[in-house]
Amino acid sequence: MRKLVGLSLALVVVALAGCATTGHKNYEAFKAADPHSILIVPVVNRTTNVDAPDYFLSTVTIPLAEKGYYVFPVNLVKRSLEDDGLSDADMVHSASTAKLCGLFGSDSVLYVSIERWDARWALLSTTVTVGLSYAIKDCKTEQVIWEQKETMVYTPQGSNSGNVLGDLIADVVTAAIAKAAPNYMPLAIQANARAFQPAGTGIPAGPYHGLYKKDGYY
Amino acid sequence: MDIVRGLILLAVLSSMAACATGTKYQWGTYNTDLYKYYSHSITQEELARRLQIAIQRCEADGKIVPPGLYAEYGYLLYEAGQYEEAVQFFQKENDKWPESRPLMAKMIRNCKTKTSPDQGSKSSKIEAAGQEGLNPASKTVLPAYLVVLKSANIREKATTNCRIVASAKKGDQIQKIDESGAWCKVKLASGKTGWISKGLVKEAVQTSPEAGAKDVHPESKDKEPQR
Repeated sequence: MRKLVGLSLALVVVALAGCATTGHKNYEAFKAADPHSILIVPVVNRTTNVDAPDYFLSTVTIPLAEKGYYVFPVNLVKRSLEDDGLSDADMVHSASTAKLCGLFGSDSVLYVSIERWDARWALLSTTVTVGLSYAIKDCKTEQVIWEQKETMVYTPQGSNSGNVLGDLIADVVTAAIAKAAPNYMPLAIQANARAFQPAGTGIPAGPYHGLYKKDGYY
Repeated sequence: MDIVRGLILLAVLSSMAACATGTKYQWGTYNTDLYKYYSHSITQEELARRLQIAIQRCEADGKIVPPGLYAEYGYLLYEAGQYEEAVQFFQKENDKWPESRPLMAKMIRNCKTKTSPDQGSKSSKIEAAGQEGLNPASKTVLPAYLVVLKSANIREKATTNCRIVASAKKGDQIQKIDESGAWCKVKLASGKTGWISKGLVKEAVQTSPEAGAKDVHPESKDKEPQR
């Protein structure tokens, strides 16, 4: 019971922190570029978790499209690049931005690198971490017009109920569940929300959004 | 218990209120389906079926189909060899989203190339889609067979980083259709194609190619009803 209360409280805190603004960025380059469409290219993996890039790819389209941009179909883009011999994300990221834009006809390109995607298991607490770095480049200038880094950490709250053996068993069970299938997806989704949404550091509303050019960036 | 319920409700509400501005589009289960597809818990066919449902629901409700969905579905049709249907969906994406036009024009061109018989034989996707009929060349060449030495994964591309498309058991005979470096491209009895590491196979001794061919060559079965 105490555990549940703790967990719920932690959720509230995380949810509220989601939109905290942390300083302002310079949006001059973004405004000059005024992108209408975003091409999400395959994600670079700096972790040892081989599945992370594809899994992550499934989380990015919705928040960006909801922000008012035309987002190129991620699976089509990924498969087309593979057919052109660009199955390696590192290769895609080091290719010329203008060339990629030309292939798909986009205005901007979102590059994401996965820095952390791991679970550390311990007897009493398990920590799941997702770390991401994002950069949007303008197709015309090939310059970075927006970038952000996010790290999300999830630790099941190990509160004490006074019953040492009970707590121990509960934690071991939690750790075992996380070990069988650590759930990275909610963390990835939260990281995206924290990167794209906050006013002042997020991404300005795009042309299909009601607040396009009215949300204080322009 | 009430406190817990209240806090959970508060958590849910604040997570909704804090960031989301409500959803513009009706996505259905697009993101989770894509995740399930990438984690191999649903097949490409199932992903296509679910995308079709998501699109139909939007259309039935008079809602805008979210950006990219027509094109994603079109691409899966394209990969399944349903080029004419694919063109329809690329066209819909093109009409709804002007930003997609250069890409959709390319995709539609690709589909048209595939449906013209001269170009058909060049495509490996046609083989993957099981439409051997479009590839007359493959029938005249005597197929080479490999014997699988131990249980092995068949991958989409010649690297262990790539998706597993099928698996082969020890002793299986599979048709070799290409090779590259340490990998062989093979075709299974199911008609699926993929890459297998050369270390896991050896050349089959072709004493009775017919015996092998019957098991692993789907065309021979497909042809019978036509005769």
